[in-house]
Amino acid sequence: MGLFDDSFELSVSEVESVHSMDELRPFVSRLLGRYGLRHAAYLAVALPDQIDPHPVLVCTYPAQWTQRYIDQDYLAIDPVISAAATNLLPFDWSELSHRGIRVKQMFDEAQEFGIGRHGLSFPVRGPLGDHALFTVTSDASTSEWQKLKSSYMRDMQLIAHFVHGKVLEFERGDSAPIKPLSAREREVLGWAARGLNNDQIAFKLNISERVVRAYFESARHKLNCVNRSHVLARAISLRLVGPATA
Amino acid sequence: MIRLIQGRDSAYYPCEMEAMFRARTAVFHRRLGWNVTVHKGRERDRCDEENPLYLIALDDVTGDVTGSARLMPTTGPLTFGVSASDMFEEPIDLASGTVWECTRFCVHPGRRSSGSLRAATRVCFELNLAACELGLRAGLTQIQTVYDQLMVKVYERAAWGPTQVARSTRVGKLPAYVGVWDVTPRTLAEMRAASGIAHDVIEARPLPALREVS
Repeated sequence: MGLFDDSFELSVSEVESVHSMDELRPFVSRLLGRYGLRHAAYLAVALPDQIDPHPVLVCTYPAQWTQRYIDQDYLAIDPVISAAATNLLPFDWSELSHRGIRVKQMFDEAQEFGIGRHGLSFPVRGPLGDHALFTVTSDASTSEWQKLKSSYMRDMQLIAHFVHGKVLEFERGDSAPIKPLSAREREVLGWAARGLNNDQIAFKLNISERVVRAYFESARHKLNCVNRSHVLARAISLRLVGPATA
Repeated sequence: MIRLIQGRDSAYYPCEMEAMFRARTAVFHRRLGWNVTVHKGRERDRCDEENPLYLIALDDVTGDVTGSARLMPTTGPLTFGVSASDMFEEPIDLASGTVWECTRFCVHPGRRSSGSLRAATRVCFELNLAACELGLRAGLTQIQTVYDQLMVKVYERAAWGPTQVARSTRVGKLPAYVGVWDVTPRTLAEMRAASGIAHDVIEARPLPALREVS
């Protein structure tokens, strides 16, 4: 079962505990155990113009490795970084070319520092032209890794976007949604806050249940929440729904 | 067969890109009468500048380009994508890290692809199957797609299609729609059953950016 299944209420309180950049790393770290991962790393490649342009790195890698990476200027030759700039789809490090002495050296050294046998990176595109990359690594066997990947792909996409959303929030100093909720999204949330499930909301609004889910998922993303109860709680606290808007 | 081409890798695929932009002119500008920009016979918009992922349908026998579509995440700026278009009466601004949008979906005019209804339907299915295959690989939950009245008939004939979210009659000669469909193994199975295509349609080769470039 994925982290974002509604039955995992514990995940909401963990998510709610992320109030600052300092709390992001422990949050990401806690995910490793849950998903059987070795490391996770978030890198903001480009943040919105209005924010002082500096790379933001939140990772569980040992400090000695990040220092080595900087000292050797691996950023300039790292195929993961160049793949992130070009690709929209998540990519496995095994798909990348490891040709080149320095590239081979970098991957070998990463192994020595215990970064992980396998890596999977998720490019993130944001609402203000921002780009980021969220990577997870694993020491699982190759066949085990294939299974892990397919079962966790959706959760990892959600986590990648959630972490990016938090970084934007902290960097901007503003937790209001960047993309506003549409009238339909608020309408769906409003009925959900009154206890209706998706089928009931669909019936109420005379639309398909699939479309209700689409609106719900969009609201979830815009409010940077992880599951149904989280998005409802957030919507109510932001006064987007409630008795006044019923 | 479907070839995936990332916008930034266009230079490696001049034939496919040329065929696509010209076909888009024929379909969206001439046939459907949409308010699109055509320059030197090629239809392009600002989405094409944002490094989208193109799906290019190729004839299994001749290798001719028979259809194309464009995929983008929905998490980007509001100024791009479906939400940017003023085509729809209701603002469509669905955004999620697990929902991508599909635009400029078309069967290319030409002897093999549009000559027969069956061939055209097959191209449509290949494009949709490819979107579902890569959606499953990428952990997506849904795909949001823009289509026109002609496509509605194709979907009805095939007994599979997106669920309509919004409609516009202001677009061109025919109404246009935004619809969503679920990215699940079940959807893939339904599409495969409806199309009679039982295998993966995405070309099995590494994306260019991930290949070694000498």
